[in-house]
Amino acid sequence: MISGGNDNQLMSEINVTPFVDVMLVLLIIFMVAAPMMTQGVDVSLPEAPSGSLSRDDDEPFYITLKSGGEIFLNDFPVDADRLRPKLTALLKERPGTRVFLRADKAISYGTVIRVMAEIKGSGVEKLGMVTEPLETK
Amino acid sequence: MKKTYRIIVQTLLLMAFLLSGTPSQAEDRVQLRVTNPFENKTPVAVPAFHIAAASDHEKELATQAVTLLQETLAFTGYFRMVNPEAFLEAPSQTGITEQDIHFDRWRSSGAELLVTGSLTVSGQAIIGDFYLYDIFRQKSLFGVRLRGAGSPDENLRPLILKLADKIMVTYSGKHGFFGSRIAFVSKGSSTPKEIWTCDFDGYKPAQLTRNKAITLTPAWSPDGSKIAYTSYVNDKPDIFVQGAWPGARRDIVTAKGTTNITPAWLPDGQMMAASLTIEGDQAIYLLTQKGKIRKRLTRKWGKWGIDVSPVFSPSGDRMAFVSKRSGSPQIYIKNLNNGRIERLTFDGKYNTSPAWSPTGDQMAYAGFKDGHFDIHVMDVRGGRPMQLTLGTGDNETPSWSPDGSLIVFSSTRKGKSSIYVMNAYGTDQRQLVSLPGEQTAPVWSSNLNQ
Repeated sequence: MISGGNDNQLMSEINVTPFVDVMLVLLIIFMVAAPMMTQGVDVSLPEAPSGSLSRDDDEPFYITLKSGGEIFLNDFPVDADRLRPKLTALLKERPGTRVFLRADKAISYGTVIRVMAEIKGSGVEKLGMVTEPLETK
Repeated sequence: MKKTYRIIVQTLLLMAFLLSGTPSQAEDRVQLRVTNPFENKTPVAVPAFHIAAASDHEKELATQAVTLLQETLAFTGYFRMVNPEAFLEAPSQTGITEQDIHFDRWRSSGAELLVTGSLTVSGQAIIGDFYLYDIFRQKSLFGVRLRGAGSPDENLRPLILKLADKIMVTYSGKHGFFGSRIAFVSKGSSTPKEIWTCDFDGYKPAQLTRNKAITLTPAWSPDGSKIAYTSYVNDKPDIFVQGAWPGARRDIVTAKGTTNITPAWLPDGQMMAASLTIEGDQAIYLLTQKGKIRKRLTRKWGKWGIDVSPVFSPSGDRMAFVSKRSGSPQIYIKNLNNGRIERLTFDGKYNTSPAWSPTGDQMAYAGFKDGHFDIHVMDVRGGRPMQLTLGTGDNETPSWSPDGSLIVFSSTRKGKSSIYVMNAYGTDQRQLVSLPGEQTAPVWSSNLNQ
């Protein structure tokens, strides 16, 4: 070997170790700084004490079918033909609210299906049927 | 082997470095969206006002009162009315006082505020007892008795506007604009441009000036009692001042000079400023209502230094105006304490009709871009303007409501020019008046009777 252990010869490649160190530091600086560089327009908004309150979305609408055929929306009596527009308007005010149907067991299956069709027609996405748990002896 | 490893590390680091830069820049643009308080409107339910033992006419009054209150609250942009179809209670059976209110029913209907009340008509007076309820906190926010003396038909509107203002103060802590009026220029098919006025919501438009000559650029005095304007009564444009009621006397302010235009009032209501040609060039002067020149406010600027459209900051320490000194019309702000003038607008080649917001920090103006005028709003300290109108014909001459929440302007979006209103973030744009002919140059007054 001619070059073995010869210190006089120039080193032919750059020493990248300090370069890598500097790049790593720069990378960390930019990673930290990037979220701070986001811009926004500075506006002063009016203060409203009774502004947006968190709405309790877990307050479903109950539609009750009594044995006499009367329909109630929560505790408000509605005619069968008024149910769909009423529910449509309510769901526009409170989109995504669940609807539960409570039908008396004496009500005919056909009536229940008719009411269910009205409910579905008003755009209800989540319809639940309310039942009593089966009584076991 | 060691060499290749180093090269790979280098490349990876470089890539990581480049990638870390780009996505955050893309995000910047998305985050330029301004939070708009008018985006989430508060749902309000106004079921009915009770009126005891009433005739058909009085029942009609109660219905009118409900409609007017609903329209007025919706007009502010802060509220939206809950659809009566979504009520889970017959409006006639809604209680008035707190113990009779079924908060759960109104919460089910999606309302956050509820207004109830009763009206009593006795002879020549109308009395209203009104309540505002916070549905979520299940409590009363106010109960108030309002009186209107005189004919119930005429006093219903002021009574309901007082109620609307009370609701506004409770809701936002600030007075609304329900006592303000809007002046504008209207041109009939055969009549020249004359000044008209209407209520803040476009109610009862009425012709103010009968000059039978082109009349332009109305400007309300700060207390709203007078209007200054430019008119060609004497075959050349001159400044006039007139009381803001029909048939009021007209007084000439300027007689000298060939082109005297665009009057403005100082916030003190005593002095005025206008663009005059008394010394040959078009410059802005400070003058009294009798036309006595106090001071020249903009200095001579060669042949093209045309200075027009002065407008003052609410505190009166600064004046914005339009000048052609740099070659194209741009808006400048002069500090009246130290006399320094700074250019405000740099965006676009034609920026006119500055309107200083009542809050003092914003300037609305009409800027010409891509073949159309559009309304822009920017910080009076400079910065990027925010464009509020786009692709709807020419939108010009903005003017702020006294609380700074709305901007009235003229637009040619339906062909002929008419008066439109939007909120200060550019949403809820709607037509204010529908009159024959063309309407331009709307200006909003302060609240007149508060």
